Amino acid sequence: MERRRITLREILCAAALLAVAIGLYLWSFARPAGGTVVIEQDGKTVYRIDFTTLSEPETLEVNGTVIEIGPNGAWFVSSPCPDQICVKAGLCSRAGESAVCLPQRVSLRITGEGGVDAITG
Amino acid sequence: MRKKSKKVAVCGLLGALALVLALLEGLLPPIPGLPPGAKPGLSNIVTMFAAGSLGLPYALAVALLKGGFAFLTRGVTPGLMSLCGGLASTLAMWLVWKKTRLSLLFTGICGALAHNAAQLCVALALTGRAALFYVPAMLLLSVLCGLCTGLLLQLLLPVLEKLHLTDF
Repeated sequence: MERRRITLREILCAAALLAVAIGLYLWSFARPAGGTVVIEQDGKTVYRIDFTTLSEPETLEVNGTVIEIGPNGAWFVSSPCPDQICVKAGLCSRAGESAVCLPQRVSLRITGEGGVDAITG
Repeated sequence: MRKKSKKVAVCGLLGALALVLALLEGLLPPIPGLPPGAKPGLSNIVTMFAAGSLGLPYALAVALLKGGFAFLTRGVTPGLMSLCGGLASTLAMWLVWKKTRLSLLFTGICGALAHNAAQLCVALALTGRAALFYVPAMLLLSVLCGLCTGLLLQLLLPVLEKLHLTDF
């Protein structure tokens, strides 16, 4: 494996790429507060709940995972999976935010629109 | 023949190194502000070196070993994620290194981007659109960590040359 010099042009390109990535990352935080949580299992929506009007927290069980929905948003309380990535994701409250449990194939995401109170599935 | 046996031996060493690095990474606590499960991708250094010095089949073997190990120790889903990410990044890094004149800096970035892109595709297939939320953080981390892994290997190359691990 030969040694190759890192050229100035490459450093500049990398810096530009980094700047774009940082910009996109910061922009992703500038989201409005969401109103509806969509819970999906195997890619299909099983619950769609407007949480802004909830008076008390609601607990759901989806494919072994336990999800709690409060007036501020939704979060995974527990999951039987080994990595607990979904639980560590914590509270999701802004529109576009999500938590995913891949082993259980359950995900929750927050959308902007409120006022829909239907439970499907 | 002697050359080939050295290649196989070094490939085995690199495989073991990749496993240890992946294991150490798994011990990292979640970092606030970053998506849980995000890792620096240190074992990409190993596959990058394998792709550059040993060639594509050996590098893919290292990635396969790493994926198989994740499959055995952490379960089906993490195994699938590790396997797809590892194979995609190895292929991407080999392409960048062998087919262009770009340095390890970009090889590392492309490897990290390919790793995350493949894992994102698996996540999208397994769940739904919720996985797209991680795209901005993934992009930023890919560029940052890819930069670091590329630079690390750049710094390590002189040492590896002294150990006669680069001449095949």
